[in-house]
Amino acid sequence: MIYFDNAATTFPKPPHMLREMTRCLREYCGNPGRSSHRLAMLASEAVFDTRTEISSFFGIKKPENVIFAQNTTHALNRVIGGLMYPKCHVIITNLEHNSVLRPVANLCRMLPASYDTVDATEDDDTLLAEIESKITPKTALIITLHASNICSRVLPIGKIGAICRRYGIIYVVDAAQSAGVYDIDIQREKISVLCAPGHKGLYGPQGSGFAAFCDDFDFSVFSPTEYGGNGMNSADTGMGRTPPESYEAGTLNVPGIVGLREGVRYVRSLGTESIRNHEKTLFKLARQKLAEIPGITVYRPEWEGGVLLFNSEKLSGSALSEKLSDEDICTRPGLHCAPTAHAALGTGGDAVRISFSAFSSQDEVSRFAAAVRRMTT
Amino acid sequence: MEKLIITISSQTAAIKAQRLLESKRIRSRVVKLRPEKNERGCSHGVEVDAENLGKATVLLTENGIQYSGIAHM
Repeated sequence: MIYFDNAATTFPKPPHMLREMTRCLREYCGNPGRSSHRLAMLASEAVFDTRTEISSFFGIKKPENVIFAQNTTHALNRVIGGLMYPKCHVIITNLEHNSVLRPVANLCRMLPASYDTVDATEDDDTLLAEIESKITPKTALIITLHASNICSRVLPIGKIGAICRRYGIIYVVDAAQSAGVYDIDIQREKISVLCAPGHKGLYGPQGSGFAAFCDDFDFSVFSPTEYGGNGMNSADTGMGRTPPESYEAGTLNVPGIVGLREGVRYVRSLGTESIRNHEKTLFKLARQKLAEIPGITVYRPEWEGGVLLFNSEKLSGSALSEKLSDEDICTRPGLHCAPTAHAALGTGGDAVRISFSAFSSQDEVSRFAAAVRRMTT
Repeated sequence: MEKLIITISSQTAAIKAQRLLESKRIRSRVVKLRPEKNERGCSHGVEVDAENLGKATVLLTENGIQYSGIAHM
């Protein structure tokens, strides 16, 4: 098998991650925060260790500012839903995944509120100028991805963060494709909230993700959007505003969180620069080999990274991906839950995405390209 | 040795406090408070030897860890 669908979820996973998840389930998977017996405390300690691992990896000092979620979409829904308010204004980009676009669009209808979209396919300076031009006195949030899920465009989050800080606007970053691949320092880049998955570039299991808030985040402006037990002040009907418990209703996914911790440790052991360089090398090789095949279009090939999007004149994206799947080559066709991004890149709404991980190899790229040639010429 | 509990509603903050105290060689453990100790229901705390209470609370304050009071187990 050749697995090039790592932007959806990385596969395979580091063996140590699997071992630790199993050990957790076998030996200490109590319910954290609820009791003081040994298993509950061991689970609580393990969860706290993961908060510490994530906070230090992303440049914040407060482990309590790491709020666990099921995935990036879940984290973004909590964050966007808890920060938007009636008549506020939000700025997003045209490369956003539906994990940002849909919560924002639906909350704008429900509250009501409003949002503007800026073009992230332009160069950085043009993008930054457009963001600044869209800011109004009502702008409460700017939400952008860090790296696109359909191409290798990486946004200048530090510069966007600086604009947000200057205007007193909360900056939410969707790091679904960048966490574990690019260096992200929440404090240095003036990010207010970073939402990320555990199961992609951090090599954790599915069902894990988080929102990490900057050290000086004012939680009084952040409303919980989910209600229930959290092991704290249980006689109150309100959830409070104390991170992380006020924003983590219900039992945590302890084995998933343990797996996420081990995934982060795996990334640390390799180094993000090494992973990034490896993926870029594979991207360049794939781009070169696809360019040699007649009728293949690679979208925005100048953006080099772990994600490459292409189409063939002969077959639709979905048809080609199905053919590749028949040979056990895993790619992702379609819209990739990013309709405005596809429109911006002019794909026609269906293209094949390949995406790499630390486990991908040059040999796999060569075999993949040979299969594409055979199927499209 | 008499034990006292520094009450902290968030268990995450209690673990953070306990690790801080341990790093400063103050023996402590995270405990769940009995409901009668907190009219708002479930709460947590860090148990320390009574003789270390002053030093422990100063350390917590210096490190921005909020506690709500002192209780007996």
